[in-house]
Amino acid sequence: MESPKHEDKRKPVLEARRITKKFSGIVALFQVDLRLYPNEILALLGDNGAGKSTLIKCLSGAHSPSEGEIFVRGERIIISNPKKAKSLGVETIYQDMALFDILNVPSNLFAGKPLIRSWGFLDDKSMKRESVRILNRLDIRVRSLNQVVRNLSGGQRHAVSIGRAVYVGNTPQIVLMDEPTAGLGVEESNKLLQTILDLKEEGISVILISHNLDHVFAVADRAVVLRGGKLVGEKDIKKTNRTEIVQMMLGVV
Amino acid sequence: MIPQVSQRKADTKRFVASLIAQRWFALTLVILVFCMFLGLRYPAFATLANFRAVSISLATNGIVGVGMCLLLVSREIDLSVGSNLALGGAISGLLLANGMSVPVSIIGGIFTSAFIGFVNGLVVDRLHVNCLIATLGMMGVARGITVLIVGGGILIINKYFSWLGQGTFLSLQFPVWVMIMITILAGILLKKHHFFRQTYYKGANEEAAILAGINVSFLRIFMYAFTGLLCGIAGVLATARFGVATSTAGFGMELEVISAVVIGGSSLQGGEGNILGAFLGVVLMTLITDALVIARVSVYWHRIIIGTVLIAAVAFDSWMSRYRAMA
Repeated sequence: MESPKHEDKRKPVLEARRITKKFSGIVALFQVDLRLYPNEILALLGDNGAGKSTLIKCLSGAHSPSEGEIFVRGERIIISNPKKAKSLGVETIYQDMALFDILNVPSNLFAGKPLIRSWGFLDDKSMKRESVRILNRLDIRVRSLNQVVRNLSGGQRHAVSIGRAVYVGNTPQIVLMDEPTAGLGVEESNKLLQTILDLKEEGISVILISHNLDHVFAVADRAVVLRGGKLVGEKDIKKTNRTEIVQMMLGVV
Repeated sequence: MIPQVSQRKADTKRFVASLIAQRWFALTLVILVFCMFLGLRYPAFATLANFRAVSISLATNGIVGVGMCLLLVSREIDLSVGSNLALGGAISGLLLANGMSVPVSIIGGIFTSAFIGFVNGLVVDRLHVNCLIATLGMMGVARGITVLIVGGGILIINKYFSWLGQGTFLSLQFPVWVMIMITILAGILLKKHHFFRQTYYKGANEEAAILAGINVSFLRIFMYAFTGLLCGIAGVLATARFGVATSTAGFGMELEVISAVVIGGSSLQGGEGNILGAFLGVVLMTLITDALVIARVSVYWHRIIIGTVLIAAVAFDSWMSRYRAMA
């Protein structure tokens, strides 16, 4: 199965072809093509309601596309649920982070991926130890491991969701992030952007949704713009500028 | 003061505060105080005969309470437990009366209740009916079927079957032993097994649990079916104990069990609670009912008092949360 003709001769690690998604009559996405290459940070841009989150959810297993195909590492796969996506090496960090507010940090880090001993019994001691290691790696300080996640700051919560996606279980190949810097202060944003660059360094490809073009231009390699559920532009970050991107987002040409 | 001494004082204060904040500690304290008070005021309380009298109620509430705890933690509820208990007992009585062997009758009764629980799970999960409504409806359906089967009552004449309800081992009746074993097993599983821990994730944030890869559907149906199974066990034990399958068995049990489990620390919002707390809650509720009987309080007042206790306990718990902040 050949990839469609494209300037880029690399093989995509994730490809979506003609993805269409309908919700009882409303067309959220229409025949969207997207390619993600190894070791790159791809920005997924668009105004509110353009379909960015919907597209991410189709790739993460949270939604099933109404039409279209998804290829992971060249192979056609149907991503039927979030568990399937994770097994393929696709991890997602959602806009609201999907954390468990009334549970503590280790429980959040190991949600869905517990460390198990024989007969399915949990290895709480190892999970506590690993949690400390992960928190240190992400440079987060918490008062106590038993602290509930609800009381953490926005940046700390984001770090926990990144910790769960990237540092627990098998290292993913692809990480999808929906508005990771939304609501974060300057220092926390910079920390998070650096973490995203670190992911690229570790060989992970990232799709990043963001409204903040400064952040996008700071870390992304390529950008893809959606408008009204359709793909309207695809650019190398180095070969474009903010004005052009905004024009594509708003449909002003 | 010397710095070490004042530090020790602060540590002790924090330790005591955190201990009081622990639900099981507070409940055990209340239970002990209550027992002492009752024993002194009513000599009839501290007798083996009295314990025997409450033991079947303690056992059935305790067994069903385990299931209710699991459901509440996962942010579900089951109002049909009393009716399901009655149905399980009725089926076992029916099979026995029709010449089936004791093992077959037991399994038949338990399986029927488990199946009812399974249907509850399907209705809530696949038909997307609100769990309160679904189990409320099943409460009526199961009770109706029970009445159809049982009529005036089915007498149990089989001595082996009766032993299940009345036989004693080390001066505790068999149903109490069953309750103890189920409680210990469930307590270990909920605390230490990855499948049962998923109930906390589902209860805390169901959507996030799905996104984390947890099979919430399977978990939900399993917990309803498991609760049904426990109702069946309780129903068979109750029928064996009383020697008759009645249409009114377990009537009104839902209120008592839910109150007990909530007092024991499970929140209706989900994500909180444990088996030990639920068990202590059941013990407390059983004690209260027993106290009301011994003190010859009119039966009509029982429901009023039980309901008040529930409200008072939850209100007290909110007040207690200041201790949790200190810990």
